[in-house]
Amino acid sequence: MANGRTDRQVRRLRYEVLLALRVLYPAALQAQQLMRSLLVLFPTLEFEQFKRDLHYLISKGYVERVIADTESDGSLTPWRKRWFRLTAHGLEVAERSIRDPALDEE
Amino acid sequence: MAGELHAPDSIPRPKRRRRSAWVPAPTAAIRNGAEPAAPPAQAPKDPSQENDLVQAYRRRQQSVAAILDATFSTPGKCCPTLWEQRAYMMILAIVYEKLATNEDEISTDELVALAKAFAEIRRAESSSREFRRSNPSREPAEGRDSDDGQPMTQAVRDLYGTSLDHAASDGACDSPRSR
Repeated sequence: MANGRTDRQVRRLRYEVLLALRVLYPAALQAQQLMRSLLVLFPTLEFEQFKRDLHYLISKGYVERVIADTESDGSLTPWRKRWFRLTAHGLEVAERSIRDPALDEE
Repeated sequence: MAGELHAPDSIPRPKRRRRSAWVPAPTAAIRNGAEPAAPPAQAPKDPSQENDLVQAYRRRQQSVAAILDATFSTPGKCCPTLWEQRAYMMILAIVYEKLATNEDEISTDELVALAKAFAEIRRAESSSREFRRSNPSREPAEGRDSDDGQPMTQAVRDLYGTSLDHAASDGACDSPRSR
């Protein structure tokens, strides 16, 4: 369990994040837009949980943040307003060219 | 998100419509930046029902991908720098959000204005590139708006009340960097 979610739910959410970002690759999505679309599948999802999973995907190198030049200090930008996009590695996982057991929903 | 685009007054905001069963209730709260309170909606318990939901979601994502690809991939392919421009990302993200969540239907007027602005900017950039190609000795100072783009951008703004540059001007930039 992770924050009240089953491991399967966590894996599914992470994989769905990759799939949603794949739709726009190589462009980016803001965290709040991403979460809104995921609420369709995960109606009880909370932003802190979502943030935790984004952190995880960034740590694995599947997702990267895009910082605008006008963000003088990127750390001050609220998480909801931050832009994220898939990395090349993340795209391969989303397309199942590379299997990652940690994200496999089956 | 849509508010960030700074759509001019000439573009009417779409009226809120009753939400379809597609989007669960917490989305409305999230839209306004609020944390979802106690979850009012419950995930389906029945595995087959859950599977149906996932399949429907996947189909919708595929449809959204097809629409975005048909609409944006050509400029994206011919101008990769566009991928990282905030205005481009914003337009793309707005369209994605509208299609993927079906939260507020985008009005025809709004869509037409955005599409025209996008097309005109693309045309301006293409002309600018053509000009530079045919006059290699005369390099513009910097950026796409330095020489030829500016009048065109202004013309787009005058004609349609908005332009992608206008959308990107508020706390935005043309060359985000990734880390």
